[in-house]
Amino acid sequence: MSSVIRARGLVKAYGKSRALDGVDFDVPAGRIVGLIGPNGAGKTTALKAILGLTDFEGELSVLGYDPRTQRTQLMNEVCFIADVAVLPRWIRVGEAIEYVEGVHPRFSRKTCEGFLAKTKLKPAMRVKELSKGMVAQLHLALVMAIDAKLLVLDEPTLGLDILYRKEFYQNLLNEYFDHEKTIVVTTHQVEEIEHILTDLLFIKDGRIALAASMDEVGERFTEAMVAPEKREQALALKPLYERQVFGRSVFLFDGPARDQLAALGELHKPSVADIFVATMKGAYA
Amino acid sequence: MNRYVTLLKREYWEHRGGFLWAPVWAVVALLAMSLIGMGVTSWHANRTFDGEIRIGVPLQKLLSEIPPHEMAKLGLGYEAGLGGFWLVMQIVLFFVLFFYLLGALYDDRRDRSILFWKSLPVSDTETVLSKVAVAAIGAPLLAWAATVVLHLLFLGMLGVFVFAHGLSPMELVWGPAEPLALAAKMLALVPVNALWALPAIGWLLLVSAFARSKPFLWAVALPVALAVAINTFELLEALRIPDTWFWQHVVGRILTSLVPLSWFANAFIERAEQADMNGPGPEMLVDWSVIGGVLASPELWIGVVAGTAMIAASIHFRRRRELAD
Repeated sequence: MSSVIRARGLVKAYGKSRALDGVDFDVPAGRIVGLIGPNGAGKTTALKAILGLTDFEGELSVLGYDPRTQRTQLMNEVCFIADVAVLPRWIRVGEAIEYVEGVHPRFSRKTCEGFLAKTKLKPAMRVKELSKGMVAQLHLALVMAIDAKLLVLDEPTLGLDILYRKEFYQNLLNEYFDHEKTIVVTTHQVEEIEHILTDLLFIKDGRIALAASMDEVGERFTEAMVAPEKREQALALKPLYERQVFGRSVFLFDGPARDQLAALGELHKPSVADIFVATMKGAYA
Repeated sequence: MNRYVTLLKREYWEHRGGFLWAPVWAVVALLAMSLIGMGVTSWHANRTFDGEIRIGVPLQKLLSEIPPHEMAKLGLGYEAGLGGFWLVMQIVLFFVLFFYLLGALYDDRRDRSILFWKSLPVSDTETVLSKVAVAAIGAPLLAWAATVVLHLLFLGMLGVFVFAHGLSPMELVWGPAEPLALAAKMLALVPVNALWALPAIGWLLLVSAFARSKPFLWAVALPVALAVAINTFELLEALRIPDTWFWQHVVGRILTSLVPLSWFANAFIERAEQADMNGPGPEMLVDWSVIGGVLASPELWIGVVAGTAMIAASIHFRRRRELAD
């Protein structure tokens, strides 16, 4: 089994609108995949389908299980954090640990307490007394103490300040991730995670707009800063996107060879955010 | 095994207020009221010349004139009195359970914490059944324990009070009262109540799993509106079924069979009609033959089937329904 997730022709309709409109993708093992799309593009619906939280049409296999019928077995090997506000407000830190320990065969209390020892969290504290950042620390500690094969993160750092956001991803990368594990993450703060991603999945209007590894992205996409007199020449190469900086045009290209582009002007490696903006052109139109 | 204990603990942690503190406070309130009652009696006694408790005549004198076979009825008096305390405790339990069940599969959909619960390897069947177990057995057992403690503390207090007034607590209180026998009967009623309450447990969980908002309104207004409509259009009369049938057997069962001993009401009325002018004595409150009659009645078992079906439907909705925010 090479793919951790294999999706073919996923369709999910809410009434007449289609949140997923025939989605195909594969997530290989040992990758960190960014599932990135504008609001309403179907990211959360795709994750819900992967986690067996919603019904859908099409073919989907997660770690060899069908999430529609084998959700409980699947949850032994998958963890997810669905934004920071989902831990029950009444629960105490100690109770949350005891509960997960009681129901999850792959949970290690020792590991979890090790993570919590680095925070200000105490077992008697209630979630409702914690700041958002502390709730995220608790959730991450619980999840990282589970030896899961797949971790799904849906906007895990929404509403956190930059210190907690940095710490969150740092912990994830240093203490948790290895070649046995796969992480799928959605976020709007692309620039903060692009250095940890190995693969990109752009989703737009319920369809996959881009599926590529970061290496491929680096080869395919090039940004060129073009002087006004060469603008026509650049346009002829069918850029994805054009923006103006200090009277010069910055073009984003998908495909053309570098030596061809070098003649136009200075070349840069575009950021994921730039590629995202270019790919999503017209998403809200 | 540990896994199921964890699921039950989870319910207890969330609802400690209802399952533990509500009975504890009810015990405290009932004991405080008893104490006030004893205080008032003592105050009256102190106003008499001899410092005796008087019920028209001094209690001491009255007791000495009662023949022994009449004294035996004192035990029944205690059973009725302690039974009254028990009833109060059970009514508290009813309110706790009603709102517990209504929120059991709804609250976590509203505050999104269902996404946390569903991120763990617990099936929807296990989740729903853990809530059924807590409502049917767990919480009633805690209420039972609180009631036993209440009975023992009350009898202890009463003994001290009687002793302080120069009467024998052994003869008047601790001898005739049989709190342990009553405790055994109350314990035996826990599973009977649970079976009888199953349609209400099923209905409230079903609404809790199904409602996108306002579960209370759904739970109460839907069956009542249906019953009113049936009455208005006299649908059942065409089938020669009395109008009250739907109220009693459907609305009544799905909303009020959680009320403790509500199965007992019918039996009680029946007995009262057969009994002599004095009506049934307090001894039939937990008469084994009454309990046997209920366990043998088709009403109970039809309710069990309906309740089980509604619990199955709750599991289905628990799986399908998404957030309620």
